[in-house]
Amino acid sequence: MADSDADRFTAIYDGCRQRVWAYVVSRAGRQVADDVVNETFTVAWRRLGDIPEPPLPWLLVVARNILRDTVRAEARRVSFTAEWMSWVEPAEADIAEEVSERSALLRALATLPEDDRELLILSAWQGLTPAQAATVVGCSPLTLRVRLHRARRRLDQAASASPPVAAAAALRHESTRARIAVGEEAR
Amino acid sequence: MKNDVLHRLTTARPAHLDPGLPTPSSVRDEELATVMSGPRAPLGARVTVRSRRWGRPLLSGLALATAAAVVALVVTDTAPEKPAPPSSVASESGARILLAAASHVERQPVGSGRYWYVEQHMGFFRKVPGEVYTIDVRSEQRYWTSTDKNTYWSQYLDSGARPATKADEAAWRADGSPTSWKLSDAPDETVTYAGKGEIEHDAPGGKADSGPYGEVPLRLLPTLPTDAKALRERLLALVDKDHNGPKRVLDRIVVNCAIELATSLPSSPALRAAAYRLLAAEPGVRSLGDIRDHTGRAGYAVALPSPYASAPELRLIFDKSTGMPLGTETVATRSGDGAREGETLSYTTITSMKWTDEAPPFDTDTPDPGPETPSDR
Repeated sequence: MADSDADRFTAIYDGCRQRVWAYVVSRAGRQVADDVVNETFTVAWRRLGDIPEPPLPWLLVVARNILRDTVRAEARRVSFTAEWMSWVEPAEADIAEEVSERSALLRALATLPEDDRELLILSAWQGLTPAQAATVVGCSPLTLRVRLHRARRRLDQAASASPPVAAAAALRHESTRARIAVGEEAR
Repeated sequence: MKNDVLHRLTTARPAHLDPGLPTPSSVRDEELATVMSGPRAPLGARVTVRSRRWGRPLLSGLALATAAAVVALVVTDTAPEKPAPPSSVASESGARILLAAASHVERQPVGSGRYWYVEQHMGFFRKVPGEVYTIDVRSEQRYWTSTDKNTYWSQYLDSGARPATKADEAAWRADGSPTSWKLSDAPDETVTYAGKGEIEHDAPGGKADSGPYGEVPLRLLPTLPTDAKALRERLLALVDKDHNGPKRVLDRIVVNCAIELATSLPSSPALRAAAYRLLAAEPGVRSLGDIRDHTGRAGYAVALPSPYASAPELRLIFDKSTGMPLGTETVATRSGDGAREGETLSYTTITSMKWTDEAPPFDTDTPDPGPETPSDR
């Protein structure tokens, strides 16, 4: 292998590893994140010649596919729930007003459908442009904007209504589904 | 637009998800070394990222189910499981137990029926906040697989929580025998003695349709070798065909496949025996000797080494007379995340596993009680 390849790959890794990890954690929790990230960069190394600039959206597509193919929806919900609790509990330990605002938002986030949550996370936490987010989730930039608009509205409603019981009920329901079915191919 | 909800959400981002944080250098060095030792595709070759030919979960269902518990788990004072014996002498006898179980199980009759039916009771242990006792948060799942049509029915029930041990029961009575427990400060993190009963069921068709359980495609079961070495090679080839991971990752998936063949899939007696023998050849399998499972059935057990340092260890329990699996347990291998080394984190008890002609008792899904899903997709 050429040294320039190794250098380019290392630069991509250093620039994006934490972002890819944070994306996976925010969707499926820390338990699976290192595995998914490791696999993502294994693919990235193999296909280094295909990686465009900027590399992040491409890497997120790979991570997203790996997550979809290897961790089924029920499993993602279970591990997301565990992860989400670790976000909310420290927030609630403090009673400062901005902290309860933060807690309300995080709670509201958990009540949204997974796809809405993903768009919000890509935009607000990963800082992707709508066009980049569209690349990641595989839709047109126009559709992305419509969906993001709706997701924002839902988040706003959920946060201002602040129904913590509903939020936790949704999660509790998911967390009891500790059943993982895999192998769609087997059907 | 300071009040814009997206802006507010950005401010609410948990600190550890900050994209600007550096990757710990130990993680970075190891990961770069592993990844860059992997194969390269020719420049510009149009390789698909990954075909969905041989899906695998990153963790077994059990491990994931437990993972949720591990994070939130608080210290259980009364470990129901005795600490593991030292591993030096135990390794060989661990293999011997699996080999003995294999020779029993391969003499079991070959079953027949329209459905492969599995019923499991599961539980994870949680210390009740502010109290001195631990409860067993129990659930139940049943699934039916029609292998000729590759269709799958499943049912999931909340069976209610119970004090984990006799000592816990005494402490629970001293506490006034409460029938519901708040497990964390998150609202509705409450479990009850009675349980909620059925949470959901899922029949073929419908939008929540899930596939047959398992990493190993069911249609391949009849084609798998019943010799342990050949089985390992075949599983490795199948995994390798669709996976670019390093060898140690592939080996881990092969072990997971063997665990499924051993404990949940409709394997023939000969195939199940081959899976046991494959596991017997794994380094570091320990014998746990005679134990009783969570329903009091006598069996013997082995512990498989955890796949990476901090992961819980998986224990397999076998029926002494038939060699069939009785269930599995996960046990913490280090103290941390609220659990102490040697503590049982969760268990799965197989209460029924058989071929049957009896059809599943439902043919539709439970109505989706979850959040509304967007319709314009």
